Amino acid sequence: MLERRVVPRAGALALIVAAAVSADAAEQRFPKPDFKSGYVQPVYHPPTPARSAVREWADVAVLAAALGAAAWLALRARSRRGLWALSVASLVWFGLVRKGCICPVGSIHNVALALVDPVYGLPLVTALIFALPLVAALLWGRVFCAAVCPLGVIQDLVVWRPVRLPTALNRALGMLGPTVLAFGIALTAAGAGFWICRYDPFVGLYRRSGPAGMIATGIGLLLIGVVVARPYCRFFCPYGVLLSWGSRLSRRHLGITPDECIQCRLCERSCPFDAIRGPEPPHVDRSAARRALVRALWAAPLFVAGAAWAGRAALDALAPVVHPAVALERELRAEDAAGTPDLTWETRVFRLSGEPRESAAAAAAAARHRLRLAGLWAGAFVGFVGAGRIVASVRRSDRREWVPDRGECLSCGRCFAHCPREYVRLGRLDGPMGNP
Amino acid sequence: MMTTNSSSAGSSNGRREFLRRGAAAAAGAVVAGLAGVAARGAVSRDGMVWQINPARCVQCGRCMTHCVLTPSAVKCVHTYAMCGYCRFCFGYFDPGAPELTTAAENQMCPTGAIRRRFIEPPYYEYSILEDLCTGCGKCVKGCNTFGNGSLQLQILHDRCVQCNECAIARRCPAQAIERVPLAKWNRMKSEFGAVPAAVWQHREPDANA
Amino acid sequence: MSADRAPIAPVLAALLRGLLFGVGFVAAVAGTIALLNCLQLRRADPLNSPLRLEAIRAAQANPSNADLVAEARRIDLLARRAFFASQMLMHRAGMLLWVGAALLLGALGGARWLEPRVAPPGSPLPSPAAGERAARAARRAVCAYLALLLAGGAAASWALRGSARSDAALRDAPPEPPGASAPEPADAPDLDPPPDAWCAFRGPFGRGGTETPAPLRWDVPAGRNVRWSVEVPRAGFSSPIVWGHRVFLTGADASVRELYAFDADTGQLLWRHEARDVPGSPATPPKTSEEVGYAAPTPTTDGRRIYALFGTGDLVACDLDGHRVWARNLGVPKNPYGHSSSPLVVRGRLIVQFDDETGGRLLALDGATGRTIWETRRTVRPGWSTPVAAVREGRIRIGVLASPVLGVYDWADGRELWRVGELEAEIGVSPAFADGRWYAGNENTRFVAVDDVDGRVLWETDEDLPDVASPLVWRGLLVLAASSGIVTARDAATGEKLWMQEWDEGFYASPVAAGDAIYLIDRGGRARVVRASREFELIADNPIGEECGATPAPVGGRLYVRTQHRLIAIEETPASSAAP
Repeated sequence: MLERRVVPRAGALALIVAAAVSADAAEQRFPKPDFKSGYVQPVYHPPTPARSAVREWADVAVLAAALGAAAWLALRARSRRGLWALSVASLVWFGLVRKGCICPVGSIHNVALALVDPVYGLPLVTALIFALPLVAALLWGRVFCAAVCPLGVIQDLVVWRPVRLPTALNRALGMLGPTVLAFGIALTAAGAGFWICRYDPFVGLYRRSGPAGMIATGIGLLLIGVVVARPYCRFFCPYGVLLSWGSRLSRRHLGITPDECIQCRLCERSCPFDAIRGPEPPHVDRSAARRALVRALWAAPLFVAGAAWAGRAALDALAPVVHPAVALERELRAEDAAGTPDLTWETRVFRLSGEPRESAAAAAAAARHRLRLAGLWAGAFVGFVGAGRIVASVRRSDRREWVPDRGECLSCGRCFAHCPREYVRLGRLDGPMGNP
Repeated sequence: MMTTNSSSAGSSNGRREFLRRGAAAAAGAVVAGLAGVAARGAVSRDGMVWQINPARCVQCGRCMTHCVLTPSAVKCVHTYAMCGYCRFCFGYFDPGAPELTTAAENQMCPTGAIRRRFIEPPYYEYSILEDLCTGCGKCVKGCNTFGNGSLQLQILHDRCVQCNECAIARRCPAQAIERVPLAKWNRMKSEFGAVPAAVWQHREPDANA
Repeated sequence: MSADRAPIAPVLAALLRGLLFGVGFVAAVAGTIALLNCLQLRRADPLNSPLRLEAIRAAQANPSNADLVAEARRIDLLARRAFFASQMLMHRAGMLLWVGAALLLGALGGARWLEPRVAPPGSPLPSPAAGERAARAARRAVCAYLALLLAGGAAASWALRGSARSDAALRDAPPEPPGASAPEPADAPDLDPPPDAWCAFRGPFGRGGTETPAPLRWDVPAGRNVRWSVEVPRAGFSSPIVWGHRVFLTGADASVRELYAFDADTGQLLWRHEARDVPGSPATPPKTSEEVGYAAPTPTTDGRRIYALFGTGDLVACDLDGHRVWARNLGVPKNPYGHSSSPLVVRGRLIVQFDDETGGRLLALDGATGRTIWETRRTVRPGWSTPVAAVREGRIRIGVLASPVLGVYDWADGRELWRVGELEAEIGVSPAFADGRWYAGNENTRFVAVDDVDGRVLWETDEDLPDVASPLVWRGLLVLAASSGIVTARDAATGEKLWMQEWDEGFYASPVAAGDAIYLIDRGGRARVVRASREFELIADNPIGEECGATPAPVGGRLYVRTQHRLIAIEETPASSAAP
């Protein structure tokens, strides 16, 4: 029936880019044949998803169980080896088997999007994946980081010769996390996508596939992680910022030893994350400290205002890069000016849609406005956190012994595994410095 | 045995501890509230999966190149119910093909992933060899432009790792990749709606929300 | 160390550890390299390689030619094999990486277990002053971070002003305010080439002509009017350029890429500079076709330095004595036939058109340092065309042709002033500029003359267009030399066809002009000299005797011609000119 049809040449095909074909059988170009040979039409069965509702809820249950196990190992069993074994199990399960998504780190985006976009609702499983580690942090500290997070455990396993970073560098890098958090949320809220997920360094390794840059970043971070312990967790992870706040308020937190500290400082040396804080004597010069505090408080509004302005300017400038609507409008305008329509698929699809040109401009303007606003808030947040940290650094506690910093401690358990008092207390007297 | 590291007692310490408990309770309420408010409009209590809306797809070829997986989780699938069983299939044959034979230079598919089987004159059955298909969409374009459109690109859920943000969706020029509730993962082409007017528009959060 | 570990255990464990460590290290490194390599390869899709598509197209066009059909099937099979093999390899590399990492971690763990335990440090407690110092350092660090953020915001808003301006330019295309001050180097005037220099592909600014007459008649095989003829060490399709008493040329093969300087009077090779040890240069050069090679781009000079770009993306700058000033790799060109666009130096800035499969880039580099001054991204397909410069009201404009657009850019900041579209083809032809008009086009698309002010198309044609040789506009005449051997001359203002001539061999060398004469050198090595007039007049038909694809350089009364293997200087001796 088709022999008489003229074979269309390649040129003709290329011109017709997207003929809208109705799915309605009544309008089909070629009617369904009437088979005489008794041929039975097969039915295509799409392959079943790797995930199902049951599995999704099982994942949530596994996450809860892992958090509970990590808390038990860190707070009650006090077993570094147990935590290590749980880390390996988490690496295998959450990483290699479940292959990364969705993880609590990325769920920040889903929550942020659900809060600003009434069309997007957060499935309950995602909400739980976001909330469970935070609740665990409020109860027991950062046990999620200790042995559950797939991004964390892969780095924890390669810690080999950790070095201590200079205080200034450590604190400056420590500001990156809040920045990533603030701008990650800002970009999502402005409709520019999930930027934290896009720069997840290790998910490509778990999937054994991904953009070359992503895989290279992951391997590079792991190599750095041999000497600078868990660089992503300490300096980039936005979820870690939330967890550190939760951990500061935690009901219980891992301790080095319940016995009296003998101030041997082995725990301080054993901590690869520089999270053990020593005794803090009161200020030598109280009036100088007061002046520093006053200065810091005066400067705080300036920091907030300056950072807010910078954040607004940055997202405004980046708008064509980060937001598809702004990029589309720019390309449309360039094409209009040059009389060269449809250089990209995006502009071609827009023109095919028959939408008036103004609606693209309006969408771009709205996106730009939202980006500016989101940038302003994100910048202000970063400035606020910075100012807060400056004020906090003036303060002195009356601490007399060595304790983990609740915010920065990842509850990995290396400190109590090195504590001589623990060896005495537990009767393991064959040597205090058993490397875990 | 559970330690909290607050061995030194004192009224100030007690007050601090009390404040911390209060703040922790407040923070817990905030987390629960955030999750609850975020989940209020949820389409599905279970998760969502990514799916291609064939009515929007323009076969730009990015599904093959932009998936985080190699080979891509997007492949061509065949809705037999829509097929015309054409002898000259526009998805199977290259438009420049001089003869209607299975020779390499006549086939549209660069990997030969479409199998053609004679049924009765003049009808042929076409089926997709999933392992060979790269998801380039060349056959889909041919079938949609000149045929019934029974070939479509779709995300195969046994391969898809369900990234939180689908890397193809991000680069899809027609916003054809959408999140659907897990329960609706197996919709075929005829079950999707027609092309909405604003296919180009990236979904924006409502400005006055 | 506990007593229950027997003395032999450490030895055995150390051996085991060494073994594991070695195997793990090798496997992890191999896995990493293989994985990254495969990921890079993933972008080079053999199924869409031009080779395969070309073979299939050829087979479809001649279905009765059994050889072509068999060849298409063979290449198709190879492409499929390569495609699936690379996917399989990547899968294995990922596995290898994880196995290697696991072994390595095991070995590291074992090594740590065997380490001698250290004694407690017994270091003194930190002094209060040290605590305060640390707190101060922390405060300063946070302040510095916030200051950095502020600087970033300021830089972003400054950059935004630039882009807002270019948006406005695109929308309204406002006329340039006359005399608007562009950031120009203080010594700008003397950077413009002297009239007797041939300093880039097709001469200064890519104009293609010089007023000084050049020899009209010669015979290379017979040695008539040949001042010298020397062998060039390595082959290449680049054209000679001349500054002062030196002729510069590039040559390359897959392993060595070189820049040569010859004495213009004697032909003696003064120096050669090998473009090696360039940071970022690929270990294995990209594939190129035989008709492009690795030395297709012509070098360019501003009289201070000479700049040479090669098919590997390596760009070297040497002083006139052959000492390297700087070198950098612009990125390995992903180009189906190889990179051939030549750089062009204009007022101390090196303009490079770098259009490959990853998109179009137009770069301006500082000639003294090689630093990027601006970079403009363009949505174009790979191309082989060279940029051309023009001056209007004191401002320099750069015309760039790449499928599917001719774009004109501001030399000062790289913003696009206008573009003209519907020029979709595999473009090997460079644009031309004369008398306020741009000329651009290629075989298989159209050829347009465009007003420089607003990008209005003045006239267009699609007859007998070139696909390698660039157009020449000289004395109101537009000369097009096609690969088919057809040469047409049109009125540059109206497009009216004035004359047409057909020769047996096609043209790869672009036509050039010296005085009243236009030089057309065909691929077979015959040089026709025709008068630049509205009627066809052949002055001479001169044999060169060797295949020729490079554009000649008419400078100072001489004509420098590069053939496949030689560089030849042609000069009329008084004796021969007296007796023509």
